[in-house]
Amino acid sequence: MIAFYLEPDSGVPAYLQLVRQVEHAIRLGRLRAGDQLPSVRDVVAMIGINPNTVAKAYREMESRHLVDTRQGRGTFVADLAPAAAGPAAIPAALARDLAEWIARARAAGLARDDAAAVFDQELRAAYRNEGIA
Amino acid sequence: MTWLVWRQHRLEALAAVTVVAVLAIVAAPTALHLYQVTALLRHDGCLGGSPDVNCGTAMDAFNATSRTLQGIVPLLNILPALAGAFIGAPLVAREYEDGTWRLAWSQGVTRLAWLRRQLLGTLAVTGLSAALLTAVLTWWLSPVNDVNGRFTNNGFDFTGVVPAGWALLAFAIGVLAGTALRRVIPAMAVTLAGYAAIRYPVEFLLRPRYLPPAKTWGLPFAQGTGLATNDWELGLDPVAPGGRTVLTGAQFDQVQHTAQASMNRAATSPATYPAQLDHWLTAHGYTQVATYQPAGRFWAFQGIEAGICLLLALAAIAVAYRLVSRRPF
Amino acid sequence: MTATADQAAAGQSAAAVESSGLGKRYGRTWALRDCTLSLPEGRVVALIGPNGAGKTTFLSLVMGLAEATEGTVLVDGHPAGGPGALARVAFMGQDHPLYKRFTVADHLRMGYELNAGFDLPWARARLADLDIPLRRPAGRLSGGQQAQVALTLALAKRARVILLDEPVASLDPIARREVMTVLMTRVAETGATVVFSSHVVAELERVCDYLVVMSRTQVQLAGATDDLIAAHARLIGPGRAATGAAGGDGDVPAGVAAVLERSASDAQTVLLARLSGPVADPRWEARPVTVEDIALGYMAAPGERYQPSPRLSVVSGSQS
Repeated sequence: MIAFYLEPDSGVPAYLQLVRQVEHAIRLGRLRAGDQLPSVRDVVAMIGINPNTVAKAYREMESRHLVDTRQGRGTFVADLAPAAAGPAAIPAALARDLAEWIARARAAGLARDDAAAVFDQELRAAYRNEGIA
Repeated sequence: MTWLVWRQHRLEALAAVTVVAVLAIVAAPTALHLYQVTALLRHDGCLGGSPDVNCGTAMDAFNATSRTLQGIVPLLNILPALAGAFIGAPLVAREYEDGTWRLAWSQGVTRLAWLRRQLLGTLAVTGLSAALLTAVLTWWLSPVNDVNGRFTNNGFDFTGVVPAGWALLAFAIGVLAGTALRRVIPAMAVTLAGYAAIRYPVEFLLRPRYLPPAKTWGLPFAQGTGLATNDWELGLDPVAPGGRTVLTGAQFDQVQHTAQASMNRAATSPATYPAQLDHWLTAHGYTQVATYQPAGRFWAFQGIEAGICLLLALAAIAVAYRLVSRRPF
Repeated sequence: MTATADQAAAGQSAAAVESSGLGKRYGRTWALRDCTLSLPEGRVVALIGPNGAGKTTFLSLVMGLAEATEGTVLVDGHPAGGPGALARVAFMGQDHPLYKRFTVADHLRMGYELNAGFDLPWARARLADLDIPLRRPAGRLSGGQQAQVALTLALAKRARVILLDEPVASLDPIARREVMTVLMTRVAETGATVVFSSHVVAELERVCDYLVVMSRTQVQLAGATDDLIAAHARLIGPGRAATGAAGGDGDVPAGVAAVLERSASDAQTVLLARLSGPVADPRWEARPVTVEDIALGYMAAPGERYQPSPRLSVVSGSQS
């Protein structure tokens, strides 16, 4: 069974952290199709967070087709759960363009954090109208 | 909730029963002795209206044995007050004082339901102890009552329903004081004071007047009252010739002066003076009137006094209920 | 989705605690005024505010330990203090009173006798986990142990609404975390609504999904944390040097409904703001805030009020 954890100061909402942990585990093969996830109650007993948050996380996982909830029996990793959000799905061309940009930034003298800040700013500007962060 | 009430008040219950048990044990030797002395008196025909001269020694023996007893017994009238103070006063006051009312009244029982069940439980303890006490004291005092009559203060106070009535009232006063003052010690003090403030007037001012007293007119001076042992003598007063005018103290003194003046000084001595005075008064038409409550009214009076206690107790409990339900916090 | 439609069709979901114009006066001093709240079922509600704000008074009124001077309060539809409400509410007071001469076992028995559905096995198991001896008189337990016993009594009742007044105030940080975990687990097991008050703001986001901020006897803020987070932001923008004059309230971008906190320097200005819409001004960057930020922000701005009506879609939780 997967052991959840929380990083309280990461800026990522708690429910999303749980979703990402399941995605990550599936990607790494630690969770396979048909494996059972702990019940909401057990997750709460493990990490002491609001049960509604856990419920929300499970609903989100379900809407991303990562898991199936069978009434009365539990929540299970979905068959053929796509590792869809992983980097394998990203078009190779985009990844190449990004690597190129990073090389140029480095050549211009930008440190790693500087490059990240520029990228972050542009990202926010582009997604501005769709709400915050 | 029966378990809870018992658990909260078991010490008081045990204390009450212990007090009565101790009383019974302490009383036993004296009581048994008194029974023997009284049996003797009865055997010699010394009980009842007109005592014989021969009964003097036997009566002395009786008085010697019962004197201490009769001195102590009135003090036992404090026992109902103690029941009220130790059982009734802390009932609600302790919850307020310790803050446990927040625990008790946030359970699944409304506070009035809680109060009702607490009252029933502690009332049962009080009532039972009062009944036991009455039994012990009736047994203890029965020889004394045979001699002195049961319609005396001691006899009346510790027989029948009156002790339970006072215990009930003291308990109710305690509950009210505790509910109003919300502190145990002050509530106990107020309970004792309140009890005394009601008991004294009722016992000494009201009790003689529950029913209009009977009177026996025309009693000669030389004889006794002619009342039975169990009648309650309230007074014996001189009456002017003609039969119906009661003389005041001052007036009677005046009459006695007149009598003295008209009697042959030389023929009187301290020893014979009383008899001669009686003779003079009778000769001049003076009589006495005895005011009393007949023995047959004993149980009526018991009922009336217990009824007064009950009504006052109900009123006190009703006020306590209102105070508890008002939720001022 | 269908769940929302059903709920909308049936009308509002029953509120666990519903107060309307609730107020309480002691003598001539008001302890709570004009309190209108609708706390949804199944939530963990944090009641935040400084001492004297009215939190304890509110909880006492909901429990029926105090009588309202004005207004009404219902628990699961039942008037507070009545038998219907008493059967549905559990309570732990700030000083967690216990009967000093009762043993721990006596307290459990009392809970069992006075409450239908009292979960005696759960209570015993919990106290065993905490190594609290059942036969010891409560007066001889440590303060922390007494708090645990009081909390156990409240949680064992299987109430629909659990009211806790400063439940972790007298506990060390480890015990604090443990208590919140047990509380959350119990909520997961029973689906109860929890309302707990605290004057400490740390670690709110982890446990609470509905926030009420009170100050000076009145409600300042009430709403689901998801809604509140969506409606507030930290805005970072140009400093005094860039805007020229250092005048007054300074520059506030369009889309800001209210500024809770402002911190300005020459280089940049940081605002904690409530939004009325998206902030389009390119000079301002919007960053998300946490529940703690929002609570602190309103506590620092006692004049601000915000009580949005609940979005029905949030009730069934089909989307965030």
